[in-house]
Amino acid sequence: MNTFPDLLKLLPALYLMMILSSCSNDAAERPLPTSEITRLSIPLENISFQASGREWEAVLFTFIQPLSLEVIYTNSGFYVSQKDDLGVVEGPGRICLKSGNSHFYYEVLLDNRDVGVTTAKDYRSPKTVNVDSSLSHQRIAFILDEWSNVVDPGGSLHFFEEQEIILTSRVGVYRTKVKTPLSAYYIQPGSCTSVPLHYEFRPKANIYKVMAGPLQDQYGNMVGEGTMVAFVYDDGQYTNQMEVMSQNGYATIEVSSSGSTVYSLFAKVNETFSSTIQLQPW
Amino acid sequence: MYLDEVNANKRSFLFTIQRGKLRADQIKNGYRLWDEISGKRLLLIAISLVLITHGVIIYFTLPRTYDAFVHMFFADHYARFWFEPWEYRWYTGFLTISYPPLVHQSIALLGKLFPLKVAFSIYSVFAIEIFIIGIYRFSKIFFEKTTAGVAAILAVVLTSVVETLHVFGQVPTLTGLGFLLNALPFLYQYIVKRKPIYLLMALCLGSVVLCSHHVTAIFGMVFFIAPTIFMALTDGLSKDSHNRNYIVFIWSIIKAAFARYREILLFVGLMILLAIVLIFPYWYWSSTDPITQVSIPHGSRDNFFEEFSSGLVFYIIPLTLIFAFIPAITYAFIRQRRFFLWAVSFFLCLLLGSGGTTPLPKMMLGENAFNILTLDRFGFWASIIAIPFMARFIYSFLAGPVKEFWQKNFGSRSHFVLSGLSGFSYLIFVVFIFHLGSFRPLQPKEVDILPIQNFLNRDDHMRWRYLTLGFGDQMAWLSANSLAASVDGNYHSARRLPELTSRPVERLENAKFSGMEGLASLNDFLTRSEKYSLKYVFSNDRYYDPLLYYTGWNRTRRLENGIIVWEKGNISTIQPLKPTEISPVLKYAWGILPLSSLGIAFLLTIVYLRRFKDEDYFASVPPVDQYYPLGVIYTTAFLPLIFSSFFMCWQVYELLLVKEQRDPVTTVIHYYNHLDFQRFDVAFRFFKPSPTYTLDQYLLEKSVNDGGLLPSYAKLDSISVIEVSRQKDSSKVEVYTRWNTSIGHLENRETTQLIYENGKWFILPPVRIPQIPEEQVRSHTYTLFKKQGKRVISSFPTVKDDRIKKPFASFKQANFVRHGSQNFLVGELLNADNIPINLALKVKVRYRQGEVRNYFPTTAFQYNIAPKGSSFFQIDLEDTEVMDSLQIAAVELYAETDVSERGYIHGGTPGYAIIDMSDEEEVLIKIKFHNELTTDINIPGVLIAEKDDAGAIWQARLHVHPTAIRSGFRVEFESSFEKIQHKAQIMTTFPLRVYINHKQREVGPLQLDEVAIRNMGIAILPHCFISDEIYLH
Repeated sequence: MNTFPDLLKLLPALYLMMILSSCSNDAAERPLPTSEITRLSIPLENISFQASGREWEAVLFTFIQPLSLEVIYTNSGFYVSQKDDLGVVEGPGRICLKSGNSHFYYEVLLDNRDVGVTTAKDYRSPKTVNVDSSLSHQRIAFILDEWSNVVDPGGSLHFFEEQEIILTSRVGVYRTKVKTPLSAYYIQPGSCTSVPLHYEFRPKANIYKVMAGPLQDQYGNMVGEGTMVAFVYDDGQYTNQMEVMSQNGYATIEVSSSGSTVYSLFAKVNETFSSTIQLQPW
Repeated sequence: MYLDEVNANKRSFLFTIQRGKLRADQIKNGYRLWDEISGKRLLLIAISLVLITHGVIIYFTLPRTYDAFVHMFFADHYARFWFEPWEYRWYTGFLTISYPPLVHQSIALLGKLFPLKVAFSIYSVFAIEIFIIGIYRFSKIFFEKTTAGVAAILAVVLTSVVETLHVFGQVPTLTGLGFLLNALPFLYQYIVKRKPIYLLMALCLGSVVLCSHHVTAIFGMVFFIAPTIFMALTDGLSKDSHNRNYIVFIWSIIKAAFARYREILLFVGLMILLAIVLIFPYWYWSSTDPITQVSIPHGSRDNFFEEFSSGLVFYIIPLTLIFAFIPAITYAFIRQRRFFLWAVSFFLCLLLGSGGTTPLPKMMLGENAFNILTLDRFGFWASIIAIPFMARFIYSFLAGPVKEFWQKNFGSRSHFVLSGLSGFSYLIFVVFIFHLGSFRPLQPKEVDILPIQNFLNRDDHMRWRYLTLGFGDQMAWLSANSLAASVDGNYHSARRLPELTSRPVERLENAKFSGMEGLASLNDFLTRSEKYSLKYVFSNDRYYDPLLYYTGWNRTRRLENGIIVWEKGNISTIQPLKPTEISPVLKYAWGILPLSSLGIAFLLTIVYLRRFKDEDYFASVPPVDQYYPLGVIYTTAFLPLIFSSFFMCWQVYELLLVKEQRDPVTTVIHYYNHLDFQRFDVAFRFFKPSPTYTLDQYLLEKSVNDGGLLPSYAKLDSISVIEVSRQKDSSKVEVYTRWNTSIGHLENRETTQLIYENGKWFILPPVRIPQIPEEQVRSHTYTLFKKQGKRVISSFPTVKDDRIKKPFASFKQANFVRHGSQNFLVGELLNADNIPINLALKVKVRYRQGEVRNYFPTTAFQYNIAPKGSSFFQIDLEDTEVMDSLQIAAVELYAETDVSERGYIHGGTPGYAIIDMSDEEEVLIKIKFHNELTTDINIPGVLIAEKDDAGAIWQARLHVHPTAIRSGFRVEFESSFEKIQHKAQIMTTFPLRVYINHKQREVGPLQLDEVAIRNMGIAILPHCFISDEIYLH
């Protein structure tokens, strides 16, 4: 086989293929709605269009999602209908009719015929409140229908209810809705106001057990779990610093007793200091 | 009697030579059939050999090669973004037009059908087949076809080729050279016969070279094309010109060149035009974005006498056979004048390939080119030029006149034994090279990348950049299998980040091999991680753990493949970066032209073979007899056997027979070497054998006494052993060691006793005084945290329902301190919240001319603080001269907070006492550290701050101790500290503003620190590294 002449023989076939691929269908004409469709209620009733051809597709674009519509052909054209009875997010939307490469859009305003099952929402801000700062809480409540539209319960265009709530100073995790962990808001303890310090000597183990606590904020709440408490003690030669984290408002350390050495010790939480005590076995 | 016999044999040999001439005449007169068939048969054998050797093994050797994964990464780029040269996954983005694309695009196309590794293997086999065919065709312009066939078989097992493919993974080099070798015979024919079809074929194959490997194309013009043209011109001369003196000969060549100037100019001109057009984007990139980086050290530039391991890999192994054949090659060069320029090329390449062993290569190439090029490629080219000449001798030795001579003089048995031994020893040598990557690992062990891929695909982790440590070239394989971006990369020419280009660092992931420069570069990235949105580090080497920890990285999890994931909080996601603009026309040209050149080359080759190939294709190549002088025959017959077997014996000796305990100094050096590589069982054999000191006892003592920065996270940098005293059977040595760690150098000095027994020196084990803790069981109460993370199961970004607040923090103080030429910002930062937090600090200095520069803390800061805890910090700024010349307008200190995943313990109870060193400015801090935890403190450390009487901080710094503290134990160490408050000043001539989570805040009032006042102004905080993964369970 000679390569070039064979390739040359293929040229007419290639040319024909190019000609064929350049052929295209005529553009479709814009279907005419038989009635006014500027405002539509969902679920849709049949919307009728005058049109030619039988290769139409229809999509309803709502504010956030596209919905495929069913196309049923008649003698003069076709009508479109919804495939299910679900609602949509209300507001502006568009119906798109497509035939081949032709697309036709119709601007519409959507509303639902029914609100379905409603859900009450209660948002709090801020979600985390520290008692050292303001104890006020902003609350905003509203109702959502089954399709995520805000519902006007009184019909007076009063969609949202705002409140400022003064919170309790008691630390805890609170929920705005029962059994809904995501609705939780948190009241956290404030800064430690005093560092009480106690110690006891345990002769059998030959150690001092030193305890700082109860560590409380200005409202009597125990400081947060894991709050760092630094115990600084001096044996006359070395200054030792032991950092421990509080549990249930208390922090405990053990200091080995070394004969007759007297330790002077204090504890601090940030810049709140305890009194200085002397650790001695007698 | 014997002499007579030898003389008779010599006469006989000369007769054989005459017969060789007769045979050459026969060939010229048309008796070529046998040669034709045997040449092609040998080529077919060579092609088959490629399949059963390289083809079988390539898939298994490629993970251990230097470059294979890099080329796969490029191939993956083209598979994903064919017409888009911007590759965002390395170095924050670079252009792939910085490397000719043909090989990568071909693998990308194959990758559409096969997995990438398989596609690469298939392509490699294709490339080496083309190369073998090229060798065959290339050899035909020197000698007849049978020799060319032998050359093809030789090329299959030539160590330089094996090493290039199976050790270096340089497939583009092989592709480029393969097509160049195929192009040369066409060029030769074009110059000789002036037929346009030869020009077309030469240009066509030359185009493929250009699109495959730019360096081969550029240097190929010098080392291959010029000698080919010269040889073609020589072959066009009359026989008389060959026999005249050199001046006449050169003059004849010049005249011949003028006679063919049209052909030469046309070829060179068109080749340059093709080079410009086909890979124009490459030239465009080279000129608009030239390489301006500090040279990266490469073993091929070393002095091979000083760095023998470099010489071994880059010179001796690839060129062993070439050195063995040097007598035969040299003789062949001088035998015919047509080889004159080939001889120049060969010896020049051999010289340049010797790297920095002599100053000549640097003088010839110039400082710049010498420091950019990897010089081993010159040695490789020398070996390629040598192939036909080696094949010529081998052919003659196995089946030609040399064989006849040998058999006549020494008998056929000796010939058989010598041939067999030479071939066998060389093949053993080649098998060794095939597995060089296994015997002398060039790469870390293979890492299963699937868990890392899964991690990157999860939870939007791809929105940040990552960095791998200790992966070797496998980092490129990870990149090829993920769309996530890394700050590192493995294509040095494309690097433009100042932290990389300003230092001689190959890659960040193997920074420890680049010494302190490498670690400084890595440190820059780890501390300035916010600048590059670097949030994750995948560590396969615990050497880097201390640096990661002390620069604010937290271990988050150990993946199924053993890789530890380190994470940094408060890092912004990758910001959209505008790619370097390049014209769409160039993008399409880059995507279409190179592959088209390959397609056209194949089509034209088919057309050429069917329609244009001459029957008497190489008639112009003059017949060459197979005469070799006796000296050449004897040396070249034995040298391959000697070289190959010597090398293998030497390897065996190194592995098995080195006397590591021949004297005290050698014993200690080898002992430390084994310790450094953690071969503890081998190190134990250096101790005096004793029934009471077993390996178990040694390992036990080691486990309870060793640990810490020096024994666990350091690499031996240098060792000096001095024998202090020697008696008859005993010796005492002083050992000075210098260790590299990721956070600086450590030095150690020890005295070791040795004794001589049974012909070996043994170390006396150090006497360990066991420390016994008081308690049998220790307890400690930890408070661990767990951040719940997202609470809405959704792949969408965080929604308001599960958003977690930014924790509170506050600056207790912040001071701009100037101490001579040094400037730094020091202070103390408080976690004011009830949860553990991660902190990120940044200083933004605004200068008068509008310039803004950012600075970040390094090791003098606790990046993770418990509730109500606080940390000193120091952020080093620039030199006083620089800052004053720029004129500071304002200084802004930013702190970003987020909730820590688990919290962190900084560990231990440090006690300290200050001793005045009689010099007011210097104090000695004596530290007594108690580990009350239930886990070892691997690196005991303290953050030391200098405060004045009012409580203002003047400086802060980290001090670490080299050995670990076991649970319940204490260590004591000292640190000298220079106080600066009487020499330095706190600058207040410009505003210093502080921000927490981008909101401007006030710095709190200064608080007196009575503890510091009692301790001469020194305050400390514990800052220890605990490697036990108690948080990860």
